[in-house]
Amino acid sequence: MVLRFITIIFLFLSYLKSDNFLISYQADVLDSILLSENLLISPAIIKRVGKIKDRFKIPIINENILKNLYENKDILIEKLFFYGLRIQSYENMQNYRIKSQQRLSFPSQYISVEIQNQELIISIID
Amino acid sequence: MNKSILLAGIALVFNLNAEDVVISQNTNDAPIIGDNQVMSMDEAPMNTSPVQQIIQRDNIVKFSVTGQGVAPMNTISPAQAYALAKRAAVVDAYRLLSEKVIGVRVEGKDYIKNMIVERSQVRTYVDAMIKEAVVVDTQYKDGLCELEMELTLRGSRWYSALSQ
Repeated sequence: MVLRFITIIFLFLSYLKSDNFLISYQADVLDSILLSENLLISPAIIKRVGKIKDRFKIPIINENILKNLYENKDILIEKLFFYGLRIQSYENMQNYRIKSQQRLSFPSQYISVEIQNQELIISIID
Repeated sequence: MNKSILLAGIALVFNLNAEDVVISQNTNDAPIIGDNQVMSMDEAPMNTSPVQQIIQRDNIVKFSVTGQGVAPMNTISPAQAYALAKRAAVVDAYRLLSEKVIGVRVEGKDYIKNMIVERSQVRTYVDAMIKEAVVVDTQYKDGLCELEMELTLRGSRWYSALSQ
């Protein structure tokens, strides 16, 4: 019982201290207008060890890493787009009136974050 | 016997009669044809994507597209309008790229009743994974964002994967 409790505390603390994050993104476009955009960033429970695909810096705007990542989401997303995304497009023309719908998404992607000289160094992990 | 009863039942449910005709056509993808080449549909290899037909072991194929995105009417600032229009343009550019690389699935359907077209429907569908595309240029004017995107495929790297 005690061991289980300690394990839960340990997992919770490691979750809070984790510098690995999981990012997933989805954007829906209807008739060339952005309908919705959904970016989810979550601290990773298990630390990912893998090959680093890319490394880049973003400025620190906020003390909280998670908030910082959300505030620099445009840089982050554009970098992640380069490493692969899924595009689904449906166009339906009925009686010569067209309706177009697109969905862009990328699956959950691991990143690691380090703080160096007032900058966040983001590494995209394979 | 049972089958014919079932079909008759379906016809009754959907109120179909001999004058109702549904024409549908499926085309998998359009082959890329050079300026001096003429390729008939019979000659065009089936079940191959456009890129499969042009990529070789030693060549480099460059795809360039211009995506367009429009800012919504209910934005609170020009900056927000730009950001939203740019994102829509990015999605459009990726769609155009995947249409060029993989091809489009087209489904056409005309519903004719008493020799009059009642409903004409064309559906296109694309589902693709794209990586290593680069944004070359972005222009924003009067709520319209135009984004130029490029994708370079090196035959030495991609031929074996794409030619299957």
